[in-house]
Amino acid sequence: MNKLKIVLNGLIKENPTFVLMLGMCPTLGTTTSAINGLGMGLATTFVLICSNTVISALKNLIPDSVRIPAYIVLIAAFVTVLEMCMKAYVPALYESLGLFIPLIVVNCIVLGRAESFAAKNSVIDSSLDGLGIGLGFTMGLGILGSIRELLGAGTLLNMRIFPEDYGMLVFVLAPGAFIALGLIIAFINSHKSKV
Amino acid sequence: MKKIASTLPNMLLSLTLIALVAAGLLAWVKTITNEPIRLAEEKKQTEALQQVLPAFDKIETEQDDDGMVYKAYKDNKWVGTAVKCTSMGFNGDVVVMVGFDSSSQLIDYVVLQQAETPGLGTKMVDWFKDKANIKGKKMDINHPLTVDKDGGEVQAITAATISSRAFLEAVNNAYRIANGHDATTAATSINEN
Repeated sequence: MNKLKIVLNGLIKENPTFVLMLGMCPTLGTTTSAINGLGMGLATTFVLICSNTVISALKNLIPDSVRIPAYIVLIAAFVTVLEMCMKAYVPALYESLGLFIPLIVVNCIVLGRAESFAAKNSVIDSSLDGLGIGLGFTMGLGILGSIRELLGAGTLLNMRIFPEDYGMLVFVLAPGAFIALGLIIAFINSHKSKV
Repeated sequence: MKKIASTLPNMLLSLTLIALVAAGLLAWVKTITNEPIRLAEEKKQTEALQQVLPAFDKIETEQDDDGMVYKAYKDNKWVGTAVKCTSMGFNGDVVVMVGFDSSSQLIDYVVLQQAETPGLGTKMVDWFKDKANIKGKKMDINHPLTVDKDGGEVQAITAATISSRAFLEAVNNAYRIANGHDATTAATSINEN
């Protein structure tokens, strides 16, 4: 399989946020601002690449009946490594993402890619798939976070675009996440069917 | 290489090895990040202290039942007290560090931890500095700060009265604790004289 195609597959054709609709909990929960969305996306990307690579390398050494616990232990190990590193080197981002970092362990994108891709493909292909899906997730969260931050608080990446008093607070709150995500998906689907 | 079969010894061996390697990896990363994590937490604390206290060259830390007390000294003279204390917010604990100078004036505060509603309660980080300025307020133990809704003089955050109450409760507690500790200091210094 073409290497570039694997990366693009995760980024566009099987974009986890807008097409596969996986990992909705962190998607809705962390995208209160663009920087939070991007941070969460990159954290998940790191875990996806590591877990996909290692699981693909070990796939013949893990008996089928115990593959789920084995995958979870590996994924949890990488998430904990990430958590400790973030606490040590980017404490501000760690604080704003808070609970959602340990929850990457049960993010269905990570386990889903381990099951459906890494367990069947070569190490290099699997790590590229992790990269593609991870970047697709990052892009999805970045777009959603930017829209919510702009409409809700009037800022973009903490730069003021219009006065805060004109912001629609609902977009920073949970219902706004559903509304914004639904509109983005509707927009994407309407354009897809025309092409 | 062929995939190994799901027999009991294989499963046990495979899971044990994976768990061992994962534990080893975590232990290794822990030893590397231990020091930076401690430094990052210390730095945050020092920065908060510098913001809420007048210039100081020595800090004395005391543990109180309701919070941590940091007494600041400059040239061996007491210049102010900062207190870190916690109150129950709209959504979990609100931890604030509040500093008072030697004449009971509130110097500044830093919200160290909060999980209030984004866009509403989270405004407490700046609200009580610009919209409803409590900086420079003279604290009085008999007249704690209250929000306007409760007949007080501090304007509450729009649509976040519970968060505002929680914040002021933390500030009042901080002053009460600071006051208690100042009193003991005063008593001891008199004895020394």
